[in-house]
Amino acid sequence: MVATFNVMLDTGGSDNSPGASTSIDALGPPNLRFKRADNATIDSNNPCIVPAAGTSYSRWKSLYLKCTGAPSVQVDNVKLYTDGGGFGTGITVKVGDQFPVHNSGATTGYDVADTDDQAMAGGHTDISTSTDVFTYTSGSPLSLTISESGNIINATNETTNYFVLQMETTSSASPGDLANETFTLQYDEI
Amino acid sequence: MNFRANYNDGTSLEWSDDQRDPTYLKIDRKKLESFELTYNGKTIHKLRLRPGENLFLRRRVVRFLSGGVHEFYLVGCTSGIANVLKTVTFVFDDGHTESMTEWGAAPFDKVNLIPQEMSQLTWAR
Repeated sequence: MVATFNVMLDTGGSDNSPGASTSIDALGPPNLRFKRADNATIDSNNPCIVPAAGTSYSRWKSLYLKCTGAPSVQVDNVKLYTDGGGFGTGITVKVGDQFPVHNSGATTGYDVADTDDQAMAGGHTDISTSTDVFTYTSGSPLSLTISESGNIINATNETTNYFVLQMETTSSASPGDLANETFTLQYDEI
Repeated sequence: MNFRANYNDGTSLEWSDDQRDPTYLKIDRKKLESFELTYNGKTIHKLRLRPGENLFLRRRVVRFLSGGVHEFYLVGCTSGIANVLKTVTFVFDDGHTESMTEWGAAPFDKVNLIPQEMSQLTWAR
């Protein structure tokens, strides 16, 4: 059976207990907007800022892949990658190098994005380091993890762990709306 | 897409990818002689296996966060010795195929083998 999935974004609530889980599939494109607010809404409110000096951080985005229709056997080998392009000078999107726990029975890796200008590396309870997501391409993707039984997805409502994204801006960034960028998720199914 | 496992006794096992039943796990790999991917009754790709070689099959799904999904199939075999991946063919949705004898980078990178695909096989003749 061909499995079906939604890409989910958790927002609000409190640590370990998100207030809302939103499928971003029907929101766009763009399906995700980095901003200085913790919600899934695609709007122009609470934009990221270009700081006079230093680095400004969006609220981080806690995302995961959720199975909505079970495969015949299993899904694994989940990867994340980009086209390697990026948003331009002074703008970076980081992905956490650690994958906080999210599965069909737990959201213990959820850390609410409740603070402006807080780097996820060190700011997020379960993330100590991060990497420019645009360094991950189809030729060198990021492997995501699964904390379900057997480290595979084989039932409805099972998920990957969180992968957490955050936009960073410096003074060299230009103001204004940015062109959309495409992130890609890949997995193997039996 | 439909699949057919052909056995060395002349019998076969068929299923389609819209079945929920995990037929893939029911393949008798000890007598598997060839494996076919078929579409609308026509064979798209046929893999002939030698004794000891072990089949693997995957649907690889490439999903863009901005919308849209691209899928293709990976079909190939391991050597049956130390679970070495021996060959793989990518069967794309436009009908063309690409084959590799060594694994490259994503989206052509390795699959995670399951126990049935890693077992040492001796053909039952």
